[in-house]
Amino acid sequence: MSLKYHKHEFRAMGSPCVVHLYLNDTDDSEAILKAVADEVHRLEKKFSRYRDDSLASQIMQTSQLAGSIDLDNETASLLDYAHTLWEQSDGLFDITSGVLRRVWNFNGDRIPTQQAIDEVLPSVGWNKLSWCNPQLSFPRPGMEVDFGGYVKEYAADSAAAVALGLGIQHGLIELGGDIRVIGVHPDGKPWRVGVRHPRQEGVVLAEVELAQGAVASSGDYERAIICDGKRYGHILNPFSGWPVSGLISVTVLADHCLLAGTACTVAMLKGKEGPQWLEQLGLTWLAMDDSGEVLGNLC
Amino acid sequence: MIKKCCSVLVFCVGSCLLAACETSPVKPWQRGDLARAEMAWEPDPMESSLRDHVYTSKEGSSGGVGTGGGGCGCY
Amino acid sequence: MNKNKRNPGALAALTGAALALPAIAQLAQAADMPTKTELGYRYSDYKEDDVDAALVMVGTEERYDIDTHQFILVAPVGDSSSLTVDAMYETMTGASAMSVVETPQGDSMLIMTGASIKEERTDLSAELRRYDDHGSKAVALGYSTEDDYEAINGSLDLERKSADGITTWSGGVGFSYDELEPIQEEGINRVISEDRWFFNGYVARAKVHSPVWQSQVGLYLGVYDGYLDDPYRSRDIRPDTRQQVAVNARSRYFLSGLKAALNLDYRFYNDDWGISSHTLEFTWHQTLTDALRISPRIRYYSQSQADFYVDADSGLRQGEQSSDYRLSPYGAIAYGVGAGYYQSNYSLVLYVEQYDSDADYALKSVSKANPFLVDYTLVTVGLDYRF
Repeated sequence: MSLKYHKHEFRAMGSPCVVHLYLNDTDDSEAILKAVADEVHRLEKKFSRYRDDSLASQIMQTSQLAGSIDLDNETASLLDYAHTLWEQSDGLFDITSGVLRRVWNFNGDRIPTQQAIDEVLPSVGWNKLSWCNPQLSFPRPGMEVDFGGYVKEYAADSAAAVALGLGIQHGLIELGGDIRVIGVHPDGKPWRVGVRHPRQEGVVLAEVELAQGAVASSGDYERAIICDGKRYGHILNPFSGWPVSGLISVTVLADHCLLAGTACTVAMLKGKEGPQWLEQLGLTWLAMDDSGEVLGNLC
Repeated sequence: MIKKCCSVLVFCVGSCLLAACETSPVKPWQRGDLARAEMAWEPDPMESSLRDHVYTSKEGSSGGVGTGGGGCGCY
Repeated sequence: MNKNKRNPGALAALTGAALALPAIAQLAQAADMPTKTELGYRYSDYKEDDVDAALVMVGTEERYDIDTHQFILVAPVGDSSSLTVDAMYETMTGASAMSVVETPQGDSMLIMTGASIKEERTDLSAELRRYDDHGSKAVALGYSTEDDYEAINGSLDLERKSADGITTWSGGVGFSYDELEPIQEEGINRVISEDRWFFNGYVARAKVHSPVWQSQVGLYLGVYDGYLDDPYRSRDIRPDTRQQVAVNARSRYFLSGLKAALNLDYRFYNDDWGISSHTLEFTWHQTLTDALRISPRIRYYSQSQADFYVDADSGLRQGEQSSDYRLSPYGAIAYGVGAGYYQSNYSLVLYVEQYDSDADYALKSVSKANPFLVDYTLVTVGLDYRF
């Protein structure tokens, strides 16, 4: 009996996803690959704002009524995490900043007016909500809570946990470029992961070897508006309502994908001060600033 | 004399280990080799428990870290 | 602004918040927790070399021959616990020394126990271990029985990892209560029934130094209280208590280029009977192919004698005394090799060890060697199955 490599590709959370697993000949490979992918679909269904039956929609309805809602353990823990990160990032990581998308349309080529932004800004601010686990209360209508900024990263961890629970020891989960390792290749070799160059398609900026843990990246290349020759990335500062500048891409290695991914986002939000924040946290990272210089302790 | 030598040896081993603490911490994803079975404190627990049992019953010393409270009728 | 000032509190806060998520906690535990059920079996043949016939005054020169069967079951229980059940069954044949006597010429000679005995020993133990995101705790209970002996034992263990996983503290306490009812023989006056308690504890600190190096240092204490004599020796009087202390250091180093793990273990032991010992063991685990590993090993041991050790028994001597070779000054060299064939769902292992003890191997020179020092060969074959 030997381990055989299996790969399952699918789309979820608006991204291409790949599950790489080594399975025994006797394993029901189809069922295992489906169970792992289903975990990603489960979280997509639960936290998608575009599905009427989702929890995210339910939270949105509650917010429109300025009501309160009791949340399940998983959601509550995700909010606790968001709260901790909000504190640790001095308010920059803010899951209420999604309302800014009402004025920023990253599928278009126009930027909003300052007046339009100013109208939305009062609805931004995690501290304006009341979160007392397990109850989330909206003081007034118009505010939103958006899990989109970190649920994909959490889904990578959660899918890896499902695989592990099925007895899989060798594999990797890749959700739109965010990666969580389940375990090394059967021969003990780590996974080799390429970090893409943010400006040159198909060019690898660095290569990392991962035996465990996760790697995630964030950059203004994901979605951006180009207006009058200037690039406006999709990561918005919750205080100003404008896209951040300073860094054009960040890659972070961490124990789990949730931490890696959200640390990238915070570094992007902090701009020029992002690298220092990552250093203070003691993470392994690589970044490119807007002058094209490559920074980081990832060698 | 021998006793003194060995406390010096133990002290050296101990302080070397402490000195090494100051280097930058190893990240989880760098621990692939450390996680190998043969890098464990007891790579084969059944084999080490049998050998410990033999050594304990045939030698004048016993004990050490990782030795359970197992009784042994070997006097 | 100090650029390099670390803020590990921030990372700890984020890690702590993330660990509240069940999936992430499960992954954090997963590194240590068994995910599969494992069954293992080992058969060992232990054979002591015969005593030099020229040294035997009375009795057989045949020493112990022991067959051992070991079974283990390790199974995950629920989401965060594991159960380990160990069983051991041994059959022993052979004889041991009853007395060391001195000839008029000054040579030490042996009087062996009457006939070759046949004994059985059964040992059962179970451990339940609970894992959480920074370590595990375990409780274990065991029972052991022989023809002339019965014991129960128990232990508690705790393991705690630092948030970054670099340092691991572990510690434990254990006890054992043993009852002896020596087999009686016509014409020999032996004790009828005796007992003893044994308490022990340890604390250890392990540290990851580099991607290829980790080490552990530990301190162990043990206390015996009760009957500690050997009831089968003609004249054996030992103290009623024994206090032990041991210091361990272990190192695991991986040579990536060679795919070899270098394991070095050292122990210094000292007790209030006057015995101190050094044990140094080195194993080279060489990976040959993905599935094959061969592990040569060498172990050196040297001990000093107990304060009340005597070269030869004498009916005239009063007070504490024993001529047991285990209390004599000597050294021992063991060398052997292990080989393993590892697949994802099963593995096969083989170990061979040769053990030679000699007064000349001791660190300090020994004036008179005990005639009963042991040499043995231990061969083990085993199979593990995971599902």
